[in-house]
Amino acid sequence: MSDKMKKLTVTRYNPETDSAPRTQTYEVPYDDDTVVLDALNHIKDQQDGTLTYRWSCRMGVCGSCGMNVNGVPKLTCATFLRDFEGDITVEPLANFPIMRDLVVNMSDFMEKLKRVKPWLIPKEEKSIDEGEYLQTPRQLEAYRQFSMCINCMLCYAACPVYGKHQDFLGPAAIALGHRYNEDSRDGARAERNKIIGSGEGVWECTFVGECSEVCPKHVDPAAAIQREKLANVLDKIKSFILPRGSSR
Amino acid sequence: MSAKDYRVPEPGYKDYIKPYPELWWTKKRPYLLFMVREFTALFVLLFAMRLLQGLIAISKGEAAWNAWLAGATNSVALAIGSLFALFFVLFHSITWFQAGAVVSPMRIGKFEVPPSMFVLGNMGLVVAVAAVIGYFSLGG
Ligand code: SF4
Ligand code: FES
Repeated sequence: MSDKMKKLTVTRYNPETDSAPRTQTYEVPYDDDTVVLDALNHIKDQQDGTLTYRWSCRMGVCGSCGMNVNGVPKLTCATFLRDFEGDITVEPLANFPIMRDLVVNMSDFMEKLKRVKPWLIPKEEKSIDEGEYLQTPRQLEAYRQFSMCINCMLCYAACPVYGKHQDFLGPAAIALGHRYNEDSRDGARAERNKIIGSGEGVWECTFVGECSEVCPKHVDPAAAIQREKLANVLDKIKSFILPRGSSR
Repeated sequence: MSAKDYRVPEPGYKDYIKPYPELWWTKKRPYLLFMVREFTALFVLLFAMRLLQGLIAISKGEAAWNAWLAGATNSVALAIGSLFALFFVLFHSITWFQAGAVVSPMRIGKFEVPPSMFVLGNMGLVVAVAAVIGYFSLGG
């Protein structure tokens, strides 16, 4: 490691002793390969073992290392120190309750994820003898992008609507609902859209678009939300014209 | 409908809830643009109403139409207001086209048209159509 040094100002919060978060500044050595997560690990190993944060895969797959770096939601394992001019501030993901230091409470997101039923619910269950549910490459393309979500919650940290109204179902949950709605093997669209199409769902979204900006997996949750808006309106019109059997 | 407000810490926990910054919309350009859209939506409504009024006037015959036209050109306040509204309608139409581009991405053969090109193309179309209409309505 080279002898270049970088200052990191990190949020500290100990629920047992602090009434509000404070910050602490550390200096870490870095080179071209050092990511913010490496710097935090260096602090924890060499300087201050009490620093608390989440991480696992170190390769942008598990989605657990999300934090606000200089105010922008980032996967810290994919954010290089070399890309920052001056000092760096590392804060817990915005818009979530802080549990300790850089660890946030994700219960709200987990609950919301469950509510959109992000799993395949076939129209009719097939028995094993009847074989697989087949799908063409084209049908796969319809939802593939939205299946790339790693549940990192960066999009929630970037969304001012979620910041102001905790009721909002939020970008990733809607994108995942959309992913299953668009799956040719699925038949539970109407059921999911009771929530996705509600006031807490797509209609809270005002198309700020920052969710798609920060998404590390190019899921484009903003697109998923706008598409669900259209689909929900079309469904409403259809059910108005054909009160029976309107859901596709 | 959330069963539970997770920003209220669960028993035994002392989660810290950061207050949302009052001036949040000044922190990032997209946030600011969003606020501008919220506050100027009224102009779009007024513009649409004024336009609707004109259409109704046309359907009522020439006298009504001329009266509407006279209203639009004689009153300085209305003319300035209309120009203002037109400006914001054009501003909002960028957002509409942006939303349009992500709702139904355009493909030409294998080529996926990027949203920026979609928006530019559509705005170009708007200007072209307006120019043609303008040319004929101003007597060619
Ligand atoms: S949509 Fe993107 S930013 Fe949001 S949780 Fe999924 S991967 Fe993360
Ligand atoms: S540690 Fe897994 S995504 Fe960063």
